[in-house]
Amino acid sequence: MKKDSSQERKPRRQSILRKLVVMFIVAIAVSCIGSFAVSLTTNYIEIRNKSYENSDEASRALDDIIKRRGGVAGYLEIDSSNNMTLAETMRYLCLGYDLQYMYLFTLDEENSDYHYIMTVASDERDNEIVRKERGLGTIVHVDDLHQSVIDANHGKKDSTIISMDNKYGRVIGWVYPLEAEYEGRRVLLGADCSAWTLERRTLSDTVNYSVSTFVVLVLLSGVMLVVTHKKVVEPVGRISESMRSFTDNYGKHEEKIEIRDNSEIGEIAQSFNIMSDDIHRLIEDNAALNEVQTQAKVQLDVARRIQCGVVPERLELNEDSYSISAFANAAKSVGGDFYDSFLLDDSHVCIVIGDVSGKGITAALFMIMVKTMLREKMRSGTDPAQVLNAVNDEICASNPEALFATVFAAVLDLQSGELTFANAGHNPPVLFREKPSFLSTETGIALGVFEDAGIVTETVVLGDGDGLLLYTDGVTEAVDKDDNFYGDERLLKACEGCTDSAGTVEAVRSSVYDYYDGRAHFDDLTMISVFFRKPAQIDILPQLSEMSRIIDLIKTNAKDAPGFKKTVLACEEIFTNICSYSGAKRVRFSCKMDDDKLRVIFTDDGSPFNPLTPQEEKDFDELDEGGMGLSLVRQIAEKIKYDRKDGENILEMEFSPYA
Amino acid sequence: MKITKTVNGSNAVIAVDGWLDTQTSPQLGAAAQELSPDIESVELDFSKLEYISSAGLRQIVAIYKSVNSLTITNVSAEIMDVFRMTGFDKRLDIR
Repeated sequence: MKKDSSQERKPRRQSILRKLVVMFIVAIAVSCIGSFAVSLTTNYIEIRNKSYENSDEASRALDDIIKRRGGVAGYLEIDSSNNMTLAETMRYLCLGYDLQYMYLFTLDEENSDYHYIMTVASDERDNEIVRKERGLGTIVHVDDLHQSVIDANHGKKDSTIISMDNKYGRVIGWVYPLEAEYEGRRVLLGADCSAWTLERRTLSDTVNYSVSTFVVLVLLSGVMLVVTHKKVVEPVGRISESMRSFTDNYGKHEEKIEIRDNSEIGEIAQSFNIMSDDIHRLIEDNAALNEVQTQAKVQLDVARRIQCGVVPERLELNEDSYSISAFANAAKSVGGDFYDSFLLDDSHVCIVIGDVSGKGITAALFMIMVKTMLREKMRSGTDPAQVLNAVNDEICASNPEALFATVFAAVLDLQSGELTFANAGHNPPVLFREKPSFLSTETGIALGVFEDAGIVTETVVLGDGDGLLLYTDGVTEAVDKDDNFYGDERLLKACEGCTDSAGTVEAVRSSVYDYYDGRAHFDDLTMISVFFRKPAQIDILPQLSEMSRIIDLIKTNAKDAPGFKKTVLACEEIFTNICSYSGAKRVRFSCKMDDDKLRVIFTDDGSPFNPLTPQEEKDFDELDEGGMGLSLVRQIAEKIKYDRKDGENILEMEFSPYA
Repeated sequence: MKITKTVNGSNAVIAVDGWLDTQTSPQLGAAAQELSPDIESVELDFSKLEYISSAGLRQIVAIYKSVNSLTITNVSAEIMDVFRMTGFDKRLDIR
C-alpha cells in the first residue's frame, strides 16, 4: 500500500487512518459494553415482568378451574380416572406458564405458618419430591413472613418478588390470592420461576441483541472509514506528499495537487497550490535580486580598487629637499576625498588635497574628474589660483548634479622653500614652524558653486625643517562615542613635536583613530603632509642678487657658528668674481657642515679661472681697484682646491666656523 | 644697510649700519662723493657695521684717497680681523 511505503521512509509518522481505526475500535468497544450493560438490565426487567404476568395468568386460570371443580376440597376428591386431578392441573399450568414450582397453601398469620395444600414442580423428579415434602397437610413455619404474602392473604395482589434460595434451588416468585377457601382460610397460590432460567434467558437475549448491534456498528464504522479514507485521509496524504516534495526540492514544485472537493481539504489544496506558486515566484525573484546585488557589490568593489589606485592608501616620498607622506582610508568604501602629489619640474612639487560633496560612486566619479583636471592644469605651469579658477569654470559649465569640491592646492619651490598656494573652501592647513599653527589663508568658495570663486594665490616661505599638513574634515569632524568632534585643538596638539611628514601623518592618524575609540564606522580620513629641507645644493644665476640665497644656505648649515660671516665673506668674494669676470651662465653652490667643518663648492660654466694662481701684490692706494678678494679667501679658507672638469670650474673650500 | 652722514664744518661723520657687501658698498661710495669738497676729514663710524667684504674695503680706500684725513672708529673685533687680513690696520687710522 502507498501508506506503508511512506511509513518506511519516515517511521515516526503514523497514518491518520490507523489512528482513526484505533479510535473506531475503542468507540465500538465502549459503545458495545455500554449497550450490553443497558440491555442486560432492560431485558432482565422485561423477562421478569413477563414471568410475573405469566404466573398471574396461571393463578387466575387455576382459580377459575378450582371454582368450577367445586372448591379446593372438592377438587382434591375428584377421581383422577375421568378428569385431571388438582396436581395434574397445576403441573400442566406450571409447564404451560414456564414456572418451576406452583404451590397452594393457606396462611396461619397468627403462628406465621404455611399450611400447604398442594405443591408441584415442572421437573418430573422435583415434582415427586415436592409432592411428598410439601404435600397436603404440611405445615412449614416461616420466621420472616413476607409482607406481600400477608397482603395476598388479605386479597391484595402485589407484584413484589419474593426471592428465595433453599434446598429447592434459587427461585424468584410471587404469591397470589385465590377466591377459593380451604378449611376456612383463603387459598394462596405461590408461583416460582427459576432465577437461573430467568438469568440465562436474559443473557442470551442480550447477547443476541448485542451481537447484532456490534455487527451493525462494525459495518457502519467500516463504511465511515472507507469514506473518511477516500475523502480525508487520502487527499491529506497527497497534500502532505506535495508539501514534503516542496520543502525537499526547496520550493521547486512543479506538480499541482488535484483535489476536486469543496470542503476545507479542497480549500487547503487550492491554497497550497497558490502558496507554492507564490513562494516559487518569490524564490525566483529573490534569486534575480541576489544576482543584481552581487553584481552591484562586485562593481562597487572594482570601483573601490580603482579608487585605491587613484588615491592610494599611503604615500611616502623622501627626497633630499623634501618629504611627502599621505594617508587615505577610503579603503573601506568609495568616497570623495582625494590627495595628489607630483613634481612639476626639477625644483617644484605640487601637493593637492580635496573633498568632494556627497558619498559613494557619485562622489568618487566627480572626485576623479576634479583630480584629473587639477593635475592636468597644474602641469601646464600656471599658478594655483589660476588653476583652481579654471577648474571651477569647467565644473560650473556642466554640473548637472550640483556637486562641489573643496580643494587646497600648493606648489613648493624645492630650492627656496617658497610655498605658493590657493584655497577653494578647504580647511586651513597646519603650518609647522617652531610650533604647529593654522596657516591663515584667503579662503575662496568651493569649486562648482559659483562661477566667480574668488580664489587667490598666496605665499608662505618654508624654512629648513618647516612643514605643512593638509587634511580633510574627516580629521576635525571625527566623533567619539559621545558624538563630540575631534576639533582643531586636538589636531594642533597631535601635531606637536612632529618634525617630518611621515611622523606627522602617523601622529594625526593614530590620534584620530584613538579618538574614535572603537567606533566601527569611520568617515573618510585623508591627509597629506610635506616637509621642506633646505637643499645642500642650489642652482643660482650669476647675479649679485643671488648672494642672499648663498648666505641663506650657509646660515642653514652653519646655524649659529661664530665664524659663519667669514665663510660668507669668502663665498661672496668668489661669487662676485664669478659674476663679474667668468661669463658663466649658471652657478651651482653647495654647502655642508661636516664635523665642525663647513665645506662649500662653487661650480660654474664660465671661463677657466683658478683663484689659487698667485697674484701680483698691489699697493694700498691701488686697492680701490680691487685685488683684495682672493687674498681674503686664501686667508679665511682652511683648504682650497680648484679643478676644471667637463667645461666647469669646481672650487672646493673648507672653513672652520667654530674656530 | 643704512648710512647716516653728519657734517660738522669741515668734518664729516659717516655711520654705517648693517652689511657692507658687493651690493651695498656702492651706497657708501655715493655717500662719500656727495660730501662737499670743503670737507677735510672724514670719520667712518663702524659701531653698527656687521659685515664687510672686499667691495666695502675698496670704498674705504677710495674715501681715504679723496680726503685729507680718514679715521675709522668703533671697529668690532670681527671687522678688525678683516682689516688685519688685508693690512688695513697698518695703513689706516683706526681707533
